[in-house]
Amino acid sequence: MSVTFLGAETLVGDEDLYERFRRGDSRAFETLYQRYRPQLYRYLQRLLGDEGEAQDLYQEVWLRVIHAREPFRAGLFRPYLYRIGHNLAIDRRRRRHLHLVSTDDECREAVADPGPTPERRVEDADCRERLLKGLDSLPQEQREAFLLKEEGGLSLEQIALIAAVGRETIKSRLRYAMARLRQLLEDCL
Amino acid sequence: MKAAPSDPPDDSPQDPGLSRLYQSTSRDEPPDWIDRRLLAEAGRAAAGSRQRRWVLPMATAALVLLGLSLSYQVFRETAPPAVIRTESDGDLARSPAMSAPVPAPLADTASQLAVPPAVPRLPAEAAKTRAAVPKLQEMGREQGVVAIPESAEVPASLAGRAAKWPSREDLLTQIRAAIRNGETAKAHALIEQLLLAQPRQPLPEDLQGWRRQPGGDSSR
Repeated sequence: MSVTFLGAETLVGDEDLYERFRRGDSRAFETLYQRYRPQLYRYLQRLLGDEGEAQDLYQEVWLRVIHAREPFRAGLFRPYLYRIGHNLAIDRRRRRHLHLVSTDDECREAVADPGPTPERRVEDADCRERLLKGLDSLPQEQREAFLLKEEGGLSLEQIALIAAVGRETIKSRLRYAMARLRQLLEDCL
Repeated sequence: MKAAPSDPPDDSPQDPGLSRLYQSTSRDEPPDWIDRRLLAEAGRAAAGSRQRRWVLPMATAALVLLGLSLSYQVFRETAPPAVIRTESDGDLARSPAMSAPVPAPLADTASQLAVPPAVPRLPAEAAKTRAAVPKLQEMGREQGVVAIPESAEVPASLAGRAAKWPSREDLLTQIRAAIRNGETAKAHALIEQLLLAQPRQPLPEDLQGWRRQPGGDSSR
């Protein structure tokens, strides 16, 4: 990874960094990019369940951030970033359902057994695999709520805004998702 | 790297064990080629932003400069000359009142009131008249009457006075009154002024006779 860390700028808020980038400071963008690089990628990867699609969408999200003509006027950069990802993922999912004759089960099958790779070294490979499999088996809304919370670090309110539903609905989705995963991973926790 | 702010509120469902397990599996990252591509794109966009930042100020400055140049050009073409000088009214032009620029509306009025171009005269008569001008100007200033040279535009400050010039009859009345009062010099000066203003109009006979008398000025 060739991204340069800007030590002093790690204290600068996301919104200030983004504003500096829009005024022509490319180093501000590098700092901002580094902050959200892995989380956003994993969010999309696990939301879509497809590595190639996740890579496509990941680039598209950042390109929209880079070339945004009308950026968010007020609010936080993080929900703004994940909202773009959420909207693009929904569009992608709709297109996929329209054009591909594949079922959710087939998609899950393909991702449920990715197989261990050298890059993915974890202490408990079995638990990891089961967690990913369990995550993929969750309903889409529950999976997204869980990912936005765990990967995005967003609050209930922010997730509710992104998903365009009420706060209590998100809370309920999270509760169901966690209960399901805990049930699947009882011996790992 | 995990972003710090916006912790979920207390009533958000929490499962520390599940979160820990999930975070332990979160090691996937985007490939390097994607990072390089996106950062290069951001660099290009930032460079474009820097260039765009100068466009508006530069365009504004150029417009202001153009506007000022045009205004100055228009002003130069329409403004009257700051100082009016003629051969015969050099002393008037040097006075502070005459040195001041003439406002455009007054200049227009003055040009309307200006004496029309003189009819060509005989050389001798013209020389005689030109020689009499300084003296008449001095006398005119003493009496509040200003002589306007025929070859020059009337200065704006004199335009008002031009309207108050005495008519031929007034001058003749003043001349006769001066003769009656024994003010010979004044009578001569007024006659000169009358002849200067109306060189083609002969003096009345009574005044011609008075000038031929020993007490009058027989030189004319």
